Amino acid sequence: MRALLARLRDLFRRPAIRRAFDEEMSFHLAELERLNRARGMSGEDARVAARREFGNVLSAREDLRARAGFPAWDEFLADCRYAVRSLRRRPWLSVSVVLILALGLGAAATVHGLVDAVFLRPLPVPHPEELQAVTGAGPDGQDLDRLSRGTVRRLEAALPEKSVAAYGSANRVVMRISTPTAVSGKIRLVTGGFFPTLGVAMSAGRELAPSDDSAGAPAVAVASAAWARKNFGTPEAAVGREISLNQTPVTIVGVLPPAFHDVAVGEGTELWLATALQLKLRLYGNSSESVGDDRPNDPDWNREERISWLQILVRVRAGDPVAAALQRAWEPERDDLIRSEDDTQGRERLRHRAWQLAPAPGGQSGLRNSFRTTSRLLGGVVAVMLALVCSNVSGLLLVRAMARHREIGVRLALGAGSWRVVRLGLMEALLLGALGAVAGLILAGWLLPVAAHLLLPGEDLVVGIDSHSIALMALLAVGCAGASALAPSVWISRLEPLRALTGSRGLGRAPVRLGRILVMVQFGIAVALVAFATAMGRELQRTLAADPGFNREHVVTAIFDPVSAGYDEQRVFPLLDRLQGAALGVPGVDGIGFSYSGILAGSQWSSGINVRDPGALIHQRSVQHDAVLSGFFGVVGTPLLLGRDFALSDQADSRRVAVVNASFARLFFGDRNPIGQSFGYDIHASKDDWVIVGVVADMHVNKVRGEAPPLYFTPVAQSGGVVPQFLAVRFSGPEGAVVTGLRDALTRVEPGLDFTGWKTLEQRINENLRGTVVSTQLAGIFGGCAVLLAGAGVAGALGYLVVLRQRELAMRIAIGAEPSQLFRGVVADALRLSILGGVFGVAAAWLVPRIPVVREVLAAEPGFFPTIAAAGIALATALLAGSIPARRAARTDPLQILKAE
Amino acid sequence: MNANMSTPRADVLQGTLDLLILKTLEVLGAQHGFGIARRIEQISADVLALNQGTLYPALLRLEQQGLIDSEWGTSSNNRRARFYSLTRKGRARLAAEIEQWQRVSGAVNSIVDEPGQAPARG
Repeated sequence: MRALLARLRDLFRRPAIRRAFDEEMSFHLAELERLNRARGMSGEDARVAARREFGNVLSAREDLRARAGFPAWDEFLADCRYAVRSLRRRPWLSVSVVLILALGLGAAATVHGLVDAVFLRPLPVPHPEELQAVTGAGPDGQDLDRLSRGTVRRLEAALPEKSVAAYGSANRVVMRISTPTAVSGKIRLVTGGFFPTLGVAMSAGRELAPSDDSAGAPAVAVASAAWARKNFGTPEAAVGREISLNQTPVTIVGVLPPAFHDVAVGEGTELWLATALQLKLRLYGNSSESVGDDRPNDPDWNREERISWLQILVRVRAGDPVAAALQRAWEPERDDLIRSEDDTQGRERLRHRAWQLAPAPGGQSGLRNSFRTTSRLLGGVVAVMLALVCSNVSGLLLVRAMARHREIGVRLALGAGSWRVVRLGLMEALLLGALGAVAGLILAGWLLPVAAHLLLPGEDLVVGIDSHSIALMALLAVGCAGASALAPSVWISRLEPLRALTGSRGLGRAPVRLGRILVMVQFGIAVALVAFATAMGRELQRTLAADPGFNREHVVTAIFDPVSAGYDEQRVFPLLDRLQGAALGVPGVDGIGFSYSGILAGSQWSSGINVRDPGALIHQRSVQHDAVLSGFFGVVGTPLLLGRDFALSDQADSRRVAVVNASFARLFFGDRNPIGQSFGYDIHASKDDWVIVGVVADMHVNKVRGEAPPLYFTPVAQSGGVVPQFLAVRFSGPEGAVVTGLRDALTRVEPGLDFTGWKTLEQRINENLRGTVVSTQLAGIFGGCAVLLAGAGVAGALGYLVVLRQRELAMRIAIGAEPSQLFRGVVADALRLSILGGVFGVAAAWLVPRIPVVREVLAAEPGFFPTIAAAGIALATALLAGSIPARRAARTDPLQILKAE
Repeated sequence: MNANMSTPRADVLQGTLDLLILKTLEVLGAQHGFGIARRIEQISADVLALNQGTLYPALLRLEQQGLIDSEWGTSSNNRRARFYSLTRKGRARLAAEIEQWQRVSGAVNSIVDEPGQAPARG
């Protein structure tokens, strides 16, 4: 080891070592000469004898040089220098190879950056690998991850300190910082053990402690670094400030470090408060609530076993009996849920529900599920892209190696081993790969934020090129370079020096055939990609053209939260009246409607219902549910198919009525008329049952693509205390003026309410389809790139063939062939290649969607016509690209060529 | 031809140069390259021929391994010369090398010294 270090040090001291040796040598020679003279030799003889005894000075110098440093390193440097020189000799070819590589590697780095930000990056806490998430499976196989506060408390008691971090979903609140104007804020409730368990070191102030999470403790919050900087300038300035959240005064006691964004990737929580504040802040986030006949639920979620609302991360250290403790902690919650369940099957399912631990170094996130399909699609596209890049670069390098056959022949004839020559080629490829990787990283650094914004809009993500990306890029660059250098290397290794020197390119048609196969493969991939892109585009077009079940034009919508702002179910109806009055006073407004979940607003509500009709197709099912105010369907333009709409007379004390959509009617009653049928939450008929009075058209309320869900609506007054959070306004005239007028009018009557997400239904549709639009655009861009690459491949390969056949072409012209004949010959060659490639591509376009893994990811399957159209495009490209070398062939001057021979 | 060349001289065996240098430095103390070469030839009574230039790469290697140290000084006839000396690690290595050499040469000797079979009687 020490010797190695010394060699490394001496590598940088070579000139000094050489000087020292020269001085030692002259001393040595002088001493030898003196000795020889003492033995009686004459001056000249003594000097000659001394030199002879000393031996070969040059070889001693070489030996010294080799000892100082590493011969392999010297050879590597020499190879590098040679590769740089030879790349600079043909700059255009080098630049195009680097650009092609940069395209593929940049795309790979961009996709990796997104995947890293969403899936791979661990939470910025000490030992994230110890964190495990509690998960279970529901009755229909859906993922469950929420448990009651009681279960969390029991788990905390059973495990060592700082082991359990539980948290609710991120919630919107009405926030006042220093001005009376309300703004919307994003907060999350966490247990007192949350921050101690994660071990996050605050950048200012203190963390939330277990003592903050008890009933009656002062309301305090920890803020994100970004929020503190935005509102107070520095983290220190935020500590100690008092703000108002949902009309409750809260003191900021600490600020998180800038690296800690959220426990769920992308959500970007601004303030963190103790779970004990749930009731005081009137926070009702995502939860699973079970209602029994035996007793009413406690409104404080911290004291109610039947409300499961907390997700749990457990820090599992070796030897902790977590699984058993988890099961014991869950048992009281389970038993209480069983008591609330009047269905035997449901009770049995609860009895068998088991909770597991899953490694979660990056926390839990819903974004991961929704981005998984897109990321797989992108990964597939990048893989295809890289294969395309490799085959293209391989073709170019092959052409280049063949053009240098004479030089290679000289090297081989001079005694360079074929491994040595292959190594030079490999070195050139690696050098190109390194340049391509650097250019790709630059490209990705620019592309990544754009891609994140397009593919994951509104997510608080930290994207960037980190050491992982660079390592991956290095790996991919080496892989691509190696793969690309393979074909030329094989060719070189089989070249015979003598034949190469005489001008024969050796090996006959093998490398030529290989080059043609590469071009064909590229055409195939390009055709398949273009076919997929057009299929996706057509599917998107169909989706956009399909009727969403509501009127997409002239309806503007917004979200607001009366509960957070302090309105309970009694005071909400006068509020809605005031809002309606204010809105109708704005010029251009024709009507206003309210509902709880709304349309394409990212909110869903489901309830398990029992249908009373003995002849129904299904008797029990969990169905999506929304509460609306009368007039809502008219405003959003959903047609009534049967029966009646809700009326003002449908009040809390009148008979409970429901409107269902067509899918609901089909699901439960088939072709029979559903009007007059009844259903309810309880397993037996009760006075709280709803009677169906109307059927409306299917509405795509969750997403635009796919089937509309079965859905039933109830009047807000008969919906068990839910309060509308979605408003829709039908207007005429210019949208901008109406929205501005509406916002002003509503804020004037209700300054304490924050209306967000002002969007027309058209905008909501487009936003909902954004992922599809972006995927389609990406597929189109990649398809276009593939066609261009394949075109470049054809031009390169045929261009080389023309050079190869120069003598033959010259001969043919000399004996009377027309230039146009030669032109046609080369173009026909290009056509042949592209037709074969096209057949391959059509086969791929037919086969690939039939692979099971791909079927999950791809929404669209290329039809017959798009595929044929893609093949046509490829054909046209081939003709165009082939005409360049064809013209060159036609211009062959027989005199010049034959004279040169 | 030179008169000295009349007695046959053997080249230094591969791998023994290190041993010879280290031993010479142990006996002479700090010494320059010429001194080392001269001493090896003298002690071996001019039997071992040294291609003296090869001494210097060997010295650099030993120095890199930390077995010897070097220092510029003045020779007996007042010229600037580089003096090499054994380090502690070098002494330890020398002991090990000597033991190894004696084992190997002893083994070779015992094979060489074995009396041959008497020629078979006709």
